Amino acid sequence: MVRSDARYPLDRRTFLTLTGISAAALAMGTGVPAHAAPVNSRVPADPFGLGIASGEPTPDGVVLWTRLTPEPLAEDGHGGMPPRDYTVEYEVAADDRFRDIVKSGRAVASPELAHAVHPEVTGLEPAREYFYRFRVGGEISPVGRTKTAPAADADPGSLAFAVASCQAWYHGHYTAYRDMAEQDLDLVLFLGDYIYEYGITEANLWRQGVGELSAAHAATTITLEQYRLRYALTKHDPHLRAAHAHAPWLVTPDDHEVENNYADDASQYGMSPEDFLRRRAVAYRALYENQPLHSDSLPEGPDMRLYRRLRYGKLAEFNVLDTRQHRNDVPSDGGTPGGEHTDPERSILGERQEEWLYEGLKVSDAVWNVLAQQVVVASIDRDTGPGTEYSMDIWDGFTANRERLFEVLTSNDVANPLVLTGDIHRHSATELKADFADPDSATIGTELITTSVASDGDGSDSDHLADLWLGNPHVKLYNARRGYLQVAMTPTEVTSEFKVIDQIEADDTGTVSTAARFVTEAGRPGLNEVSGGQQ
Amino acid sequence: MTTEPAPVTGATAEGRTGAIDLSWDLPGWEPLVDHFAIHASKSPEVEISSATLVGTTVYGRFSHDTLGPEPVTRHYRIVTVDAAGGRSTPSETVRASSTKSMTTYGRALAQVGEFDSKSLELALAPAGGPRGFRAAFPDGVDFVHGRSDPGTDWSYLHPGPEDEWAGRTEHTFRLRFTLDTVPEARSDSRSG
Ligand SMILES: [Fe+2]
Repeated sequence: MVRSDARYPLDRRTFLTLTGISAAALAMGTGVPAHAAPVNSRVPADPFGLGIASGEPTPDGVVLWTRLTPEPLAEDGHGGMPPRDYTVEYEVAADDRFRDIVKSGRAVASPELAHAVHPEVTGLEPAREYFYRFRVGGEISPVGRTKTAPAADADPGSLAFAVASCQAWYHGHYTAYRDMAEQDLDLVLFLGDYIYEYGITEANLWRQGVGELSAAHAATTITLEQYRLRYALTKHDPHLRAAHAHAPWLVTPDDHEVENNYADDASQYGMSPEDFLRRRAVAYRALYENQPLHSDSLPEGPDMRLYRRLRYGKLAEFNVLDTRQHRNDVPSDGGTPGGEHTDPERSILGERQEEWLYEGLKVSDAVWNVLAQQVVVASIDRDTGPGTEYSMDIWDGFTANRERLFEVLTSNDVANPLVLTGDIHRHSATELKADFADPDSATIGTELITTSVASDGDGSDSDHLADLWLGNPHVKLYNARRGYLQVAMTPTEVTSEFKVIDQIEADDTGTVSTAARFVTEAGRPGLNEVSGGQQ
Repeated sequence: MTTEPAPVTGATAEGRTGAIDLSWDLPGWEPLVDHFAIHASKSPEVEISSATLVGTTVYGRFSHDTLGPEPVTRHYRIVTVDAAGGRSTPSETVRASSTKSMTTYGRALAQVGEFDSKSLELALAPAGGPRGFRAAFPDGVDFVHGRSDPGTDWSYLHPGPEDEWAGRTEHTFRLRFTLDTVPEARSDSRSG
């Protein structure tokens, strides 16, 4: 196992078993021996409407996922399942015809987890493609493809991954996933805003051809049944299902999986922390239920462990960050120079996550040290004139945290820092500067920012924010269409391809093209434009 | 197998103009509460059915705020629904009365829209705010009674400096109306 840090003093599963029947039922969703599996009563037909998924690849395993939903859009969030436990069987094979089955087992789908299962498969070979499927009663799921990570000490020659974020279902079709599912990929990274909490009404339903939605979808998601329903609506999309079935995913949420711009226990909409944490708890529960996450990420009340590290041999280490749950609240100064946002006490990661990140970076021997996270790290001056203005929702609102991170990167000669970011619904790429105010200062890393899959609808190559972004000399790309980012990584270079779609609102037939391509050389941080920069 | 969650305790109800505010004690984290279902009735026997369901929430409070300008009395019981779909027995019944709105006895000088706890007759409703406010009202709302149209000239929401969707700045709204004579006593205004 490459899960390197000691996360909990007590083994997670032991802990769950000790905390009572309900928690034990949750743990059984990750796998049970045959004698512990309940005998199924009649299973409703077509229970795999939300598809299947895999995630969290290690050299010897993956987490598999499915959720039983014979009626995916049942408004109580239970997908049409009776309130009973069901045994779900899974098979992992070396071939897609399942002639060579290498692993099989059982997990319990319980109503506490909306009949989701998360079998944790181990004992697989490193850097190998596998196929998997589920069975419940007489029903067999579609087949998924996944791939384990290379051995910890391997020297992989290449790694291909896609990066996506921000997929407001109601703003358009998931054409990006149609294209992604046709690529040869080892991994998909999702960087936040998988769902949005807003009610879906005539005003924001720009995705055409989807018919009438019931009144339940018009509500802002606040209760567990509402978050579950929103995930079901989102995951019902065929292209999203195809992308999940195509490669293992690494998922991290941003704000909209709970509520716009929240900060730890602070809502930006005038609600007490005590009340807001109730909402965060149900939102995190629904998040766990609907993603191929390891049981390390099973929420306890309102808390969820989301930061983690995955290694792809000596080629790359992925530090998956959580910049929402542990951050300080919005500063009062609004970004005036030297104001509260520069307070050394402020952190976007929280003390424990910062410590964990820095310790990992200091000892890493990987060629590429990747931060897979949500909001823009580069400083972005939003005033196109002589003044300065900064967004307090991104790392600019936590300048001391950024300085500490950069200090760790430079003083420890951390190899090839590569930041992956979502959030802004634009493709962008930045050079991370030792001093953002001085264009001649050293470039210490590279940041690739993926546009949204759907949020903000069709978009256009340029828009009213282009001047603002490109007015910052370290910003090398701006494109306001929808799409995703595809990355080819080798020991000597990273090639980033920023893919865009001509339209997503009318239907899912949009044309995908490459807006820009950059090469970042190992040992030389920054962006070499191959085509299409400075849109 | 699913067990029944415990009903909430400590429920209170308090009336104000057009609304009754409920609150109760939040239980522990296990089992996780999916939501609290709030049932209301005119009679002290609150039947638990979809017909009496007035709202759901995960918070420890709920405002039943569609009661209109006349004072009314309501009885409430709350059902706790957990993550597995288990439903508690209903909480104890609490009751309260909303208070009379001055629109029921005062003399209207000017009125925009209806006192119906809805905003659909007003500009940007139901959800045009985030995209539309700055475009529709760059200089704030300026409404002339008798001449302006509530459907285009009166925003269904009036954002304040905390509202990021409207640019986190202060906005002014003006409601202009004509008086036949200058009144001797002060006038009051009401929204709803
Ligand atoms: Fe977003």
